[in-house]
Amino acid sequence: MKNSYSYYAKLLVLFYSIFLVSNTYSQNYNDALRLGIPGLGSNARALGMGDSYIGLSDDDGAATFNPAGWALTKKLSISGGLGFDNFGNNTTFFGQSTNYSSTATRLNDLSFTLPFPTVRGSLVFAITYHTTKDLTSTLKFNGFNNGNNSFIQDLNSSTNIPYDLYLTDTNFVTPINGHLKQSGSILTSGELHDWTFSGAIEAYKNLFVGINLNFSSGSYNSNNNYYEDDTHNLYTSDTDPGNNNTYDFQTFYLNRILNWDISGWNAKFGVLYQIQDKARLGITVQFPKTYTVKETYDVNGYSQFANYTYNLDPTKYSDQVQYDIVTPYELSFGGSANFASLIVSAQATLIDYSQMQFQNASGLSTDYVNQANQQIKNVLRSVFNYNLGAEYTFPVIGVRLRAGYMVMPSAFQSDASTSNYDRKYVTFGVGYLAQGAVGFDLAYAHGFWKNFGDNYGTDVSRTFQNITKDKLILSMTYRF
Amino acid sequence: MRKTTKVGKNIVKILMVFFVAFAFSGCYTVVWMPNQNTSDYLEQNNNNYYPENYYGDYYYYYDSPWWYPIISQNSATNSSASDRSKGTEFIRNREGGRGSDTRGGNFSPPLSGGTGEILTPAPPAVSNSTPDNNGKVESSKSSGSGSDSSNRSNNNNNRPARNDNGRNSNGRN
Repeated sequence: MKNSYSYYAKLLVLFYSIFLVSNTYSQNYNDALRLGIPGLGSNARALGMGDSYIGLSDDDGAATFNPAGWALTKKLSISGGLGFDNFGNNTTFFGQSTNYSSTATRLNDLSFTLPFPTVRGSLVFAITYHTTKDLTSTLKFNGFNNGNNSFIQDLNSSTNIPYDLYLTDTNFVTPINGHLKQSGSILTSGELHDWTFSGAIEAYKNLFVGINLNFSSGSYNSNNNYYEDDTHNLYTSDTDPGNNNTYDFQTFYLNRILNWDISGWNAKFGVLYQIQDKARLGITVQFPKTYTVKETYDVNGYSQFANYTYNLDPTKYSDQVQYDIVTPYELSFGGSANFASLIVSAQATLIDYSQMQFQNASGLSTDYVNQANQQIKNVLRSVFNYNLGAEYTFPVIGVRLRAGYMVMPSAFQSDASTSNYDRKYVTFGVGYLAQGAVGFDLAYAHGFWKNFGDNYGTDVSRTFQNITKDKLILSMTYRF
Repeated sequence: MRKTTKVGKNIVKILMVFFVAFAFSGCYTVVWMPNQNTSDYLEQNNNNYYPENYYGDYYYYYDSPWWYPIISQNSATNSSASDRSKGTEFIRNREGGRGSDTRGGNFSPPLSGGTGEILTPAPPAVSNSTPDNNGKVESSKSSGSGSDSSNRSNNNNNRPARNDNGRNSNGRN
């Protein structure tokens, strides 16, 4: 009987090893959203106007917003800029508040514009290298979870990690039943860059069309540290009965490092119509972006007892997979109006996040990919992003002041009833033109929204986050 | 490799849609060639979104084409070439030939030679004719005598340099 019991236990271990381990940390809609939510762009003038730029786009902002805007460029130009990002997160976890922030400074934009001489109309080509998205984020939490749950228990239901760390007996039964101090941090970094090759033409008088071909590359790194401590000294007996090394459990630690090597491409088509020198209307269609993600996932951890520490075999739960993430179509329309020295602009963008997909997976089962795609459809929704902006020019001194506001509603269906999780930005900017040829632009954006996350399960170990994002862009353009 | 091919095909499809659209609609834009004038451009491209009175130097920053000075210079070059041509004609008119007002501006053959005979007036096509080595006049091969006459008249008015002394003497003798 005992042998039979042991036999089934071994079978169970084998089952976990083969079928569950690879799926435990697999991809879900959060990974798709990481690439699917639009970035803030790399153009200082646009950002100062709340990225409400589809109805203007008469500089290298056309590489991000409306490719038809390239056709409004009449001078050879070179531009470049630096960007600074700060991500702040005030997290409340079981009543305890923790602040954490992370910064990144990077080359934001390099662009060359070549308008062809024309006797009528406009023909412009351009090449741009620009940062399209900043993937920096941070989270830190620390609190005592008084519930009868823990990450150890959650992992024990689907992986061998607690077993391997001697937090269970040989039958996968653990004495641990919550009431642990939980703490950790998630620090992410990375960005997406695009090489954008553009062409635009005046197809009819005051009607401009253009196309951007974007070839993307980038990286993403996430370092997740998680601790559970028996601060109330509740688990003093052996977690693996008969093994004296497992006497007096103190700490469980798990470190997960996710690395993405990202490449992809997409195209954006734009139309812009100018109405009697007074207003401009724009429409753009961004075709789905196909990102190929080469992922490495490394898992380390240990369990610490009074007199002994067990380390996790890092090769057992680490893997390498590859898959595509396909983002949805983005349909945008907007306009700008010129009132003497004042320009006001507005735009809206329709994004159906439920159209996102995982494709061409290597190292993931077809069933799992199908489930992940079905989950995207069940959890995510379509939204309208909207942007507002204004710019006032002081012609005598060559100074322009800008302000803007934008909203990116949460992609989750469950957030439809509240605006707390919508990403909201207020933006400001200033521009100065020197010698009629060199333009300096500075933009600042402050974003704020709420979010929450689950360390495991649903609403049993939840972090409530007040997020702020600050972005600064300084750029210079020389037109000759 | 297969995936790269697929991406390439998608790019080609998008570009084809883009360019086919123009092929059907025709294109408004005309690229400037070095021998073209700028007058068309100045008439057609006055869609300034940043008027100078409200935007100061930003007008030149956005709405002044970089190639305009080059085109203007090219046009100026063409114009001065035309002027120089007129100047050349002016100079050549003063090479000792007959001025248009010498005899009232009309070409009239002398009424009589040294012997008092009445000479037959020269045929109208004389200025478009090429004398052969024997002094015979070969008729112009242009069709339509009226047209020839008109051309000659124009030539006489616009290219008086051809009325230089040597050629006229040869033709009439």
